[in-house]
Amino acid sequence: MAVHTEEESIPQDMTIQIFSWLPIKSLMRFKCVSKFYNSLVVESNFVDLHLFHYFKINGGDTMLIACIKDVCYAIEEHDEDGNATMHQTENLFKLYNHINDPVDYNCFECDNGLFCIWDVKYNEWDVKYIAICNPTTKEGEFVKLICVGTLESSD
Amino acid sequence: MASSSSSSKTGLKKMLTLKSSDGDEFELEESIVIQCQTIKHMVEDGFSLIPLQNVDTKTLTKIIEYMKKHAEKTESNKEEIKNFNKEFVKGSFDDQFELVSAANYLHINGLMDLLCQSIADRINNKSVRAVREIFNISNDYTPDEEEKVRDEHKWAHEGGEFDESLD
Repeated sequence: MAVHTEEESIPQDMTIQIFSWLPIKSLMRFKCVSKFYNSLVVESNFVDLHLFHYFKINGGDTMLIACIKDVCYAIEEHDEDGNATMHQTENLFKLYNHINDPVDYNCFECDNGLFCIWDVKYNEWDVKYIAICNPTTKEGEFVKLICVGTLESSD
Repeated sequence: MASSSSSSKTGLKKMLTLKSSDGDEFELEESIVIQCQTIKHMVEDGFSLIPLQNVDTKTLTKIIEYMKKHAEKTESNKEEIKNFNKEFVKGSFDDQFELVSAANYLHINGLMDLLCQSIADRINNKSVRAVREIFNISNDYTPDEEEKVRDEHKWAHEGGEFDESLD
């Protein structure tokens, strides 16, 4: 069966609607479909639409996502009794391996599903590691290596 | 709740006529048709014959079938509606795309969600090549570029064989 005749193509706004219902793994795979889809996936309107549909499918609202060691948890609130449940989501990007001293890391979530992670045991002479990561796409990036205070000049 | 459009109080149900792009006319109760936002606005503007130039008879018949069923929705027939939906989304990709296009034009949000989600489910496990074929998307990558994008997200390409079929 021929799926389409040559001149027919699906309007882009329709494919965007359809793609916004895909799980993240397929979405990342379909970045290879064409350059348009490569950039679409990280476009902020699309990310919002995808998140909106993701919540529709999974039900409940994801309130907060916490990262403990290299595992990422979504904390969801039940509508009725307000009890929070915690679900383990995908393994976080191997951020952990990039950090020399595996201690605990603090984390907060930004609006758009990105996370900022930093070293809990930070003190003013330490080098502070800050990473921005997106656990759903498993992308991580160190944005800054900040030296706070003065680095010791001698041992 | 206050409703300004309660025109069927007399017992006489208000009827509307939908006309497909092929010229076929369908007479329906207003209460069924107002699920569709586009038509609802036209009804509010006083239209009773509604020409739908972007929707052919075949597609309109399916859309009406959907609206009729969903107008019957109550607390007790949830399972029945669910089964109806399941049947409704069967059919070739081409037919589904026609329906998405019509649902989008008519602003039937529930139908739009149903169709898009079901198509997404169907392509979820497809290969990149199959997706290009199904949506008629041309590949504008050079082989090197494509390889690079693939390498950036290797994990997304792992985990078994992807479906190459186009249906």
